[in-house]
Amino acid sequence: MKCRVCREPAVIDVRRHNANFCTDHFVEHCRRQVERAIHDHDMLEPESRVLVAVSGGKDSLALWELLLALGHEVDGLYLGLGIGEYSDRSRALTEAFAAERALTLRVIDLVEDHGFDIPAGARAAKRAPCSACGLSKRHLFDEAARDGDYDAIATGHNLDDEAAVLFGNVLHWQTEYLGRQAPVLPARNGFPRKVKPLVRLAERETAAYCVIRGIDYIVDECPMSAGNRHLGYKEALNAIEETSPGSKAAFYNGFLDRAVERFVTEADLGTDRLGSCDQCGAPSSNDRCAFCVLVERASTASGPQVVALTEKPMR
Amino acid sequence: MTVAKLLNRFDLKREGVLVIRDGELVPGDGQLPDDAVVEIRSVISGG
Repeated sequence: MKCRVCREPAVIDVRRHNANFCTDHFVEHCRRQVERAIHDHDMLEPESRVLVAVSGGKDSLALWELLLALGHEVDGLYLGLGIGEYSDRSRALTEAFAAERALTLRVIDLVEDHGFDIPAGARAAKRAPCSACGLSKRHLFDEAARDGDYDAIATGHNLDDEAAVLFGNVLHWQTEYLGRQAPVLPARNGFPRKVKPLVRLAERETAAYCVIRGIDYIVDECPMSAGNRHLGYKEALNAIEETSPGSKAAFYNGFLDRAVERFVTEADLGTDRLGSCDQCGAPSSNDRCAFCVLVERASTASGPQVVALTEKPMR
Repeated sequence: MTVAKLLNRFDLKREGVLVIRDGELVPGDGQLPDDAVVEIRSVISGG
């Protein structure tokens, strides 16, 4: 197997591009794909101040390094979820990554700063842990971006993530989510701009990037995500990709090129009705935002209380 | 044995894994000695 660029021995194949790469040209390939995503979707300006949401996983750490390599000003934000050793390890890896590169990392800890962890929050909300986690992340990332006057939040959603979410949303025809699945969500109504610069890279590529670049990331999967639907969608799409390379990219990019705009209006209507939370001031469709309700329920949970998580997710 | 054959033996889809030996990626056609110690690392995350 030879590198497509230099004909030296390759270390990885990218079948949807019908290409193999050596280490140097694979790194170049990753940078080029991120650069192209940023350019094609008008994600960031060269002078944009970016807050990257980092988890200690392969995608967010690779994203942080790739954005820096492309010359952007990027700080990190880590959210401690209180999920036992998994959270301890992911925080340590994130802090080590930032320290080795002298980067600015903000840390919010759910237990220390808000008095609950994800397992307790999920029980209080009577929701899947991923639901309480997603709600907390969206709220706290938005808040941190507003407080820090950042121009955009960058998240490590990759091609596989986006294709799997699209697959799930289409299966259930969740049109209000389809309209918000563009790789850029503009700032509006108190929500900061959100961008997904990894949408042109598969997760196998972000993992390979980390191995090649010596980025130590948390390989173990979050213990609370075992068996979630998202993983099942990924497995289904990978089965298709195995026999038909490029299917995932065609599915997702075709949606962006030919369909996403058809669903945007419905999503916009949902956002335009928002007021603000009486307690924290965040955009909300109720007197109190879902996060403030979650904090209260989690801190006082003792009975069979149900929390209405009515805010729309990021996508 | 090649990496591709190794993955076939365990019925693993290569889109979902990387094969790493001594800290370096091994491509699909990479030859593995009989006594090689490798990590087959899943790259699929729950999101």
